[in-house]
Amino acid sequence: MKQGFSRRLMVCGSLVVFGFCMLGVKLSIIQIRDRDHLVAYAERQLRRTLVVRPRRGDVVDARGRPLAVSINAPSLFANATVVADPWSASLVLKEILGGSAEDYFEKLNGRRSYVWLKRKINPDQQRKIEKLGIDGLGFVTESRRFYPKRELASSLVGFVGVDDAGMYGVEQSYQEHMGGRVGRIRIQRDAKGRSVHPESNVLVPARPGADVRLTIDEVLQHIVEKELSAQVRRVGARRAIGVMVEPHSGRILALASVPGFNPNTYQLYGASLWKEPAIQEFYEPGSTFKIVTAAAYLDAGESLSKKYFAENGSYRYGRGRHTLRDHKKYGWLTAEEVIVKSSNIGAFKMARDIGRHQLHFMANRFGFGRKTGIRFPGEARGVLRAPEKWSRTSLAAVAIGQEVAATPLQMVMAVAAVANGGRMPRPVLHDSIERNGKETLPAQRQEFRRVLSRRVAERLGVLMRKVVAEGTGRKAEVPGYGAAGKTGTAQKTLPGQRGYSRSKFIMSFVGFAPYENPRFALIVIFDEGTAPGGAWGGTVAAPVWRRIAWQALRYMRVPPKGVRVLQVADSRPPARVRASLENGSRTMGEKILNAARQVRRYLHGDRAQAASWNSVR
Amino acid sequence: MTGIPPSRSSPFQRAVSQMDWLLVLATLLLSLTGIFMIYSAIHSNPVFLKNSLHLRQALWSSIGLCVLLCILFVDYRFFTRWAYFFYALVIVLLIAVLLSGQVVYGAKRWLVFGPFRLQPSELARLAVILVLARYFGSRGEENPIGFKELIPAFLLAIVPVLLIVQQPDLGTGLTVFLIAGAMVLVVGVKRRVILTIGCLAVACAPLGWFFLKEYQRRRILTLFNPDADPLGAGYQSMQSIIAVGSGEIWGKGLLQGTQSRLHFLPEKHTDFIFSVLSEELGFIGSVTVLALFFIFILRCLSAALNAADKEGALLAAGITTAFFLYTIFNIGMTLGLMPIVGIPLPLVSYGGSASISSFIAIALVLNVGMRRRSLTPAFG
Repeated sequence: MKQGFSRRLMVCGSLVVFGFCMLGVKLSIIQIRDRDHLVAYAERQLRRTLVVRPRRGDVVDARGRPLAVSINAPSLFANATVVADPWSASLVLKEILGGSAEDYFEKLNGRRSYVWLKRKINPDQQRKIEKLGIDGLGFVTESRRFYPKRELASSLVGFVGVDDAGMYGVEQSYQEHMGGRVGRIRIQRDAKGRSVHPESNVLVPARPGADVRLTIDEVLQHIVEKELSAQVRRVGARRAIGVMVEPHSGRILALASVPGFNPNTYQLYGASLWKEPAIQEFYEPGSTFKIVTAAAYLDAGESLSKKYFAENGSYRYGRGRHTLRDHKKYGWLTAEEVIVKSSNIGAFKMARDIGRHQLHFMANRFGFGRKTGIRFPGEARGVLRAPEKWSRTSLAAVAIGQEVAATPLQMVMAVAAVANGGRMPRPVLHDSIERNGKETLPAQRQEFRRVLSRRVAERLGVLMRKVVAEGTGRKAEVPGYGAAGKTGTAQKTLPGQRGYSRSKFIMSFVGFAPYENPRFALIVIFDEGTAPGGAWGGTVAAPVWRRIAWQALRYMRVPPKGVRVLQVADSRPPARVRASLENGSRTMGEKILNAARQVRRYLHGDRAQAASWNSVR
Repeated sequence: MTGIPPSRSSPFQRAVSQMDWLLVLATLLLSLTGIFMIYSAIHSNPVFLKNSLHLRQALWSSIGLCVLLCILFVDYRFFTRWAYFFYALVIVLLIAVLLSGQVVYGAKRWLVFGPFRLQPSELARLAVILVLARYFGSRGEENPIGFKELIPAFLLAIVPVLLIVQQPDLGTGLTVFLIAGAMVLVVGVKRRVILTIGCLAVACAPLGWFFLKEYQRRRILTLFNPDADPLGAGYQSMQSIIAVGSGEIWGKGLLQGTQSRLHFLPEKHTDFIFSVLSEELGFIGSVTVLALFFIFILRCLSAALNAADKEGALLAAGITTAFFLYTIFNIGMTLGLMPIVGIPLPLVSYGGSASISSFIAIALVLNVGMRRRSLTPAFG
């Protein structure tokens, strides 16, 4: 027995050895062979990357007044695995936050440990929810965009979407600066999905967005919007646009469209209001485009005292199939009077004298049909067809601002070029982009493009001054400062049809003030509507232009001066221009320009044009 | 042999001189490891830390050591003589726990006496070992046992086992039954009996599957495919293997285990203490502890081999089997070799009843070893 007993115990002993060997082998498999795989598994289940949204930069006006700011807003999330009674919680949340209880229930009933219930709620709602003390609900502070000035400059400033990405306007075009950089933090989480030591491992530090200081002046913007909307109501216009720009720098001082919308609740408005029509839409400028016709005329060396027969207010052209009409029967007019009184027939005849290439060349110089290069998303080009594609009637149409289309910005920049002695500035929308007082993008370099000789610019200025002093734009005169400009009344094109409406107009006035030392160029445009005295640019737009200009000049503290009174009949250039002409002291640039002009005229052939005009006649 | 003449010293002095110090050393080292690892496992749990479970464990171990010393003074034959009494007491306790036990995780396992909680199933395995040692030891014959003798032994074992399974605590019940079986095998059984039981067991195994609860079946299935449901039934096993594996060779260092600190490990201070140890002390630490257990169990086995009489040998063999099964089941479970059954690691896992019953068991083994046959063989 003793032998058997011991033997059996020895068998037990070998079983023990076998058992421990098994454990040892398995241990070495796990801890040595599979260790890399298992370490990676452990890392995966406890590491999580957390995205840290940076604070978005503010949008402020030229004097630092806020137009768009970021404020802290609580966002509600839930750990669905912890919420004890999803259905009653959903009902309570619906009471406080609105929305549908089914949606909340769906989120709360799942097994997700981190699910957004509603983002960017207000502090009052947060307080109510915290008071309920439901386990598994929590708040994360996010930044929320707030537009303290509501409708002011709404379509210019634009707005951001849910994730703070700029969707429209300045918010979109300066996104890369204002958005900052999203940070990433690696956190550990425990088995229940709670994060542990969130400060642990910063992979990419979040960088706050930069503040954008616009060239817009809030007060000027307000003046423009206030006057535009007052007039919109008075004349029953569909909408109105106003752009004010500093001629010597290209800084946009105000850029308004009425009606605006409240960007804090942009969803409540139609998408058509979100666009900025002053930059993103174009229109047929009508008579205001005669500034370009006149510029081409002067540039071609024609005299303003040349006489044109404006017929009896009606003129058939294009093989007699088309008719040009004037407001009145003007009879014989000088070229100057054609512009001042805005004769369509006269303007056509002036254009005919210089030819389509000269007209197109000048329009092209002014930048019509091209983007101005302003930093704004979706800028429109407008329409300016190449002269080769013009029809028989195109010359007449373009001369009076039809068959061309311009953005309000392009139009006001053209006038700014006139006001700036022929040098057109590039439009600028921001003064600085700063993060923590440090510039991240230097202010845009002021760029200028000479579009007119100084002489032509000054003579155009005189012409525009006369429009206000004695022509169609008399209601735009700003006493004590002197204004210069041009009215425009364009028939609206009929949507889906050929031709123009006889009752619906786009009425505009574009000009600059003060005449002597221009501080701004300003365009106001009204879409439809009528005023006592008729639906004219001179009756609907000009008075508003005057009110805005007067308030703006007072705000800018420009002292009123005695304005040099121009003799009505005097069509001579101003003294300085006259002197330069007499001395024959043209600048080198002008000489080159002139030479180029002659070469081009030779190439395109004046004779061919003359032939076509004959047929028109 | 020791060479100390029996005439010059008292029996107790002679017994002390034959004390198995290696076994004592292994016991102390394992207990100390247990206390450290319990601290490491609970230090991230504020409730457990406030109750300082590690200090409690230290207290239980000290009490266990005192009990151990006391038992050494008394000849183990005293305990085998009173075996039926202990056995009856334990049966009463087991019935009491079913009637008025404290429910934890849906099982009634503890009897509450004021501040103390007693887990009678821990005592039950000792009682079964004692009573079987007495039953087979008092049997004078040398022949292998047949069915006639096996049936009373089977009944002695099955009553407490069924009571434990009722709690329900299938793991413990199963180990108690296995211990009993092992003791029967050590005593020696007729070949016919082994064959019959073996065939019966194979025939009944599929039937047993239907008696298992759904979660128990899933636990067994995940053993073969732990990745099948890593977030469900395989979760504990998977997390334990991840913990062990991410300890690599040198470990993450004490208190540095992320699996335990971030609560991925279940029951980490009791059943999964070895995972914590493996994660923090690495392969080196785990193998050291395995070696300690190996030495520990071999020393127990040696006490059984050299026991003075059959009762002592059976007693030591039963206790050895118990320690061996607990160790293999527990560590095998943390390594994914065994299904998840709630069995603690002897001496290391947290638990008052378990520690004290372990110390009592070790005391009995030491007792047998001390009073081993020195000059006269135990078996005639």
